[in-house]
Amino acid sequence: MIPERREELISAYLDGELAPDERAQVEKWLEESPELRQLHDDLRWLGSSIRSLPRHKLDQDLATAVVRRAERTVLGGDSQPSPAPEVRPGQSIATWWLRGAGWRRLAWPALALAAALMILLFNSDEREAQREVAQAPKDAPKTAARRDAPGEADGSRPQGAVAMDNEQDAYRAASSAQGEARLEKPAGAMRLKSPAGAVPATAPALGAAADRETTQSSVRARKMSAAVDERLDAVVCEVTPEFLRDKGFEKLLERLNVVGSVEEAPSPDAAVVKNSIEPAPPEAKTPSMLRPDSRRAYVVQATEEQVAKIITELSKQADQVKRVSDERSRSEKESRGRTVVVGARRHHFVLQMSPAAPAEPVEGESKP
Amino acid sequence: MKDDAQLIDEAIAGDSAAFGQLVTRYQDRLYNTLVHVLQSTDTARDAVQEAFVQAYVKLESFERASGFYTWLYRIGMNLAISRRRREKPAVSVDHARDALGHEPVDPGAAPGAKLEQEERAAQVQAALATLSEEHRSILILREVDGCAYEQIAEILDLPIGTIRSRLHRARLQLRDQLKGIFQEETT
Repeated sequence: MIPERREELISAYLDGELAPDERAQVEKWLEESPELRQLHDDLRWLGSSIRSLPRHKLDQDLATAVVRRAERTVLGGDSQPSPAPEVRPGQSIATWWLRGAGWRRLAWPALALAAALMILLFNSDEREAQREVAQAPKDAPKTAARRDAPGEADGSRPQGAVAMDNEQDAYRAASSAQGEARLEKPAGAMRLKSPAGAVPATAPALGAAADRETTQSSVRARKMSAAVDERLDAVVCEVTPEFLRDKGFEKLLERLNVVGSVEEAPSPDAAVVKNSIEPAPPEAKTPSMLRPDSRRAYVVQATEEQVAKIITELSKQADQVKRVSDERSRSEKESRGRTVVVGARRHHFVLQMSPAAPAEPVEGESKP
Repeated sequence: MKDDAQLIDEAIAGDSAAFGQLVTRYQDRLYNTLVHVLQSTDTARDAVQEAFVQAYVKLESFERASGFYTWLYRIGMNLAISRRRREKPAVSVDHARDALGHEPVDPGAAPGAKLEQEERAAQVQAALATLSEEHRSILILREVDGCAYEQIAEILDLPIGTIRSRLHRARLQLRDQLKGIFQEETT
């Protein structure tokens, strides 16, 4: 009977996996033991039998199919096969990026980072939010006091009033952030029913919670607007709605072979879903710059020369791009003393919609 | 010709064609291994494709402590093992022959010898199919792929000592299965 350890060593000896001292030991055993020699020969024959099995080969190159499937998986849209990108030698990263695979890979980390920043902003403003709630009846009677008004408990309160407050707060916030004081919208100009507005007039008991939510919503709106307006290192462009809708900027990047991604781009559809916009009265004209889908921010990875080229190209499209303002250096000056991350290749572009038609004068409007 | 590391860098940077080159480079090798592990050409083809897709998706997490091929094998073997557990193994010689197709054993061999070799290959494949998946995988990685113990340990996530003992036990079992032809050939 051969000890199992010796058998294993014979096996490992055949595989060339023994240390020199073990190998010497096995060779000595093989000289001494016919049983071990037999095992050695059996295993050697066995190895050769397996190695002589026919080798299987695929009848086609899987590269294209694999890359196609992998990109669909990365894009997360396996159920709807997209026009399959062929495997092309020398394909540019920019093309790949703009086709979605690149920025999609970074989308979640970017969203997580953005969320973390927003949380920091909200937390720092927690006290401010609480103060606003406390002062609401005095400072903004139409916001909080309106819910206590007679008639609301029985559901006679105009539908969407809470949401309207939200929207007005958001507009006010956007206005103050932009240094404009013309955004006090007349009540009922646009009927919105936001998630906060989902607290119905028939549920007065939830009024206090709705108040808090409303106030927090306005703080959120202000912070979001400020986050965009106070963006460091941004080129700010005023463009037509068509330019935004037709993705003029994305097309320009692609044409210039520059890598870019939308940093935040609430689509009109998303805005509808989010806010449940009801048909607005025809007289209600909302300054388009204030609509939630009126602004897009992009992160562009480019050299300084490429940024200059982008600005030049944007300036050439005067019919669609009304104004291009390179505010990067100004931001850097203003932010002196703060920690500024200056990415050698990351540049921010903010595209905001220029009004298609002059906005009607609204209550409280004042010119700078 | 670019090495694996260069192609991986390019693929991570967004050049899917670079990853395509890695696929072309390793697809047959992985396929051959998985055919023997899975005992089915169709399932092996699917597993190879899936392994490459997973590798592409996870490419940025590849730490490069091992070779790309070892890492790819690990993905492929994990897929193969999970697929294998869902399917019935092919144990008969005929079934093995059908499942594995009719790959030419030695195109240059004389017709009689060729038949003999094919018969023997089918018997070895059928014997392999009777092994447990853990024994078969190790044996295939060692004998068919020529992987070192260290590589096998990395692919299967097992200690080297376990690889050595399992490999030996797998060989003994296979020898018992093939005793008939072994005696024929050695007498």
